[in-house]
Amino acid sequence: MDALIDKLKGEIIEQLNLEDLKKEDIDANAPLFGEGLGLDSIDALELIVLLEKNYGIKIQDPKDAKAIFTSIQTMADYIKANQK
Amino acid sequence: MEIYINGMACISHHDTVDENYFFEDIGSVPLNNQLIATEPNYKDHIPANLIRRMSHIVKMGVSTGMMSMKSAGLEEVDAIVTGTGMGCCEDTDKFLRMLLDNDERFLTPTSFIQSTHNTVAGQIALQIKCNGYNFTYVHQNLSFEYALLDAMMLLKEQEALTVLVGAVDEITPSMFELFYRGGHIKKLENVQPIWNSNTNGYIVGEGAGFFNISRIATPSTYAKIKGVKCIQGISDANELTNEVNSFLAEIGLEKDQISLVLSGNSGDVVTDKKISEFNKTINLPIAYFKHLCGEYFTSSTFALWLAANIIKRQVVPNAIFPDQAQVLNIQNILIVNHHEDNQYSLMCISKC
Repeated sequence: MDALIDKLKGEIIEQLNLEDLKKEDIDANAPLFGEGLGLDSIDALELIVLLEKNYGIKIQDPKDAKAIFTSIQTMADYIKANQK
Repeated sequence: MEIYINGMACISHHDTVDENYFFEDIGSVPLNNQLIATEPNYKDHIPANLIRRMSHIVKMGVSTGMMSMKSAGLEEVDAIVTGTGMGCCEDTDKFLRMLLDNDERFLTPTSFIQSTHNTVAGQIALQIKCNGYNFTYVHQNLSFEYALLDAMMLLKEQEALTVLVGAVDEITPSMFELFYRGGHIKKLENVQPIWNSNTNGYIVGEGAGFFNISRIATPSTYAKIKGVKCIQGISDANELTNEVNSFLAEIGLEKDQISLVLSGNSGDVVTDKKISEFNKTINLPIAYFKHLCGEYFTSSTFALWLAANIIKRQVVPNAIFPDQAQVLNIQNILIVNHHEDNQYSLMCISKC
């Protein structure tokens, strides 16, 4: 799980151009939206594409997205549970 | 009605964001066939959370707009009008490449929404919270001139009191490759002073220039804009001379009232033929600018920024003026620009 979280941090930094951040700056349990990383709705779309492209996971019900993208930890949990 | 340039800023190949810099250390021959912009610290002008989504051209445009606002001492304007010849090519490249590489799937929104021609004007409006008129002109070499004409009309028709007007263009690796292969850009070994060039092609460049213009002069005023004219093609140098004469008559100036002409020679021996002939016969002091900024569709922003600086400082930098004759009491500067002999423009500014 630690390896997956570390990989996700790198992918998020690259995909969202968070150029001032390093992996070690990101708390895996901190909120992705609002406080924490302070991401917004455009970033949410980028994260949906990241899940599908890098992990082959398509979010079927948009209502689930809020819980999946709470933090990097919740994203990693979702990937682990759903990756084929 | 007079229209004044009360603030301005320019990003170019040289350190033009430094207010004290004025080409003191520059020679007359560029050392490259591609003049890439010298970038400022963008974080000084754009919030960090916005920068991360911006491409090179958007950062150049937005920061130049913000620097112009600062130069004019303004925090808000009534309208924002911009121009661009090619728009946001880096993000367009990125989006199209994603389409191809991912077989038209996994498309993310950022590079698409940042690649529209109006991105720069929109981002400036968001940053300064301007809900007023917001428009972008895309007309190749006349993009900035049309934006400026529109901005001047807004002022003349009392639709606005202050307008931020500017333009921006970038050169990307793929654009360079295409223009170079097409023979538009000079081979490196053919780079010469643009006023003595006998080789094909131009030196390509990129940059941004923004101007705060108003009906009211302020202590920061650089110059007043006498007129702008766009010309779609000319048959020969005589026609260009006639166009200049009628333009000067329209704005109420005699030829001998022009202190200096800034000529848009690009260094291409073929497409500079008419403007070079015009320069020889007009019998006015001629200075040049494209060896400093390169050729790009909105290089006339650099020329206007340079002309307004010359008028305010009353100094003609040696690097642009091969005659090296002393030009004193600079009252009126005429800018004659062209791009590959297709689109010509005339702009005239005067000392206040």
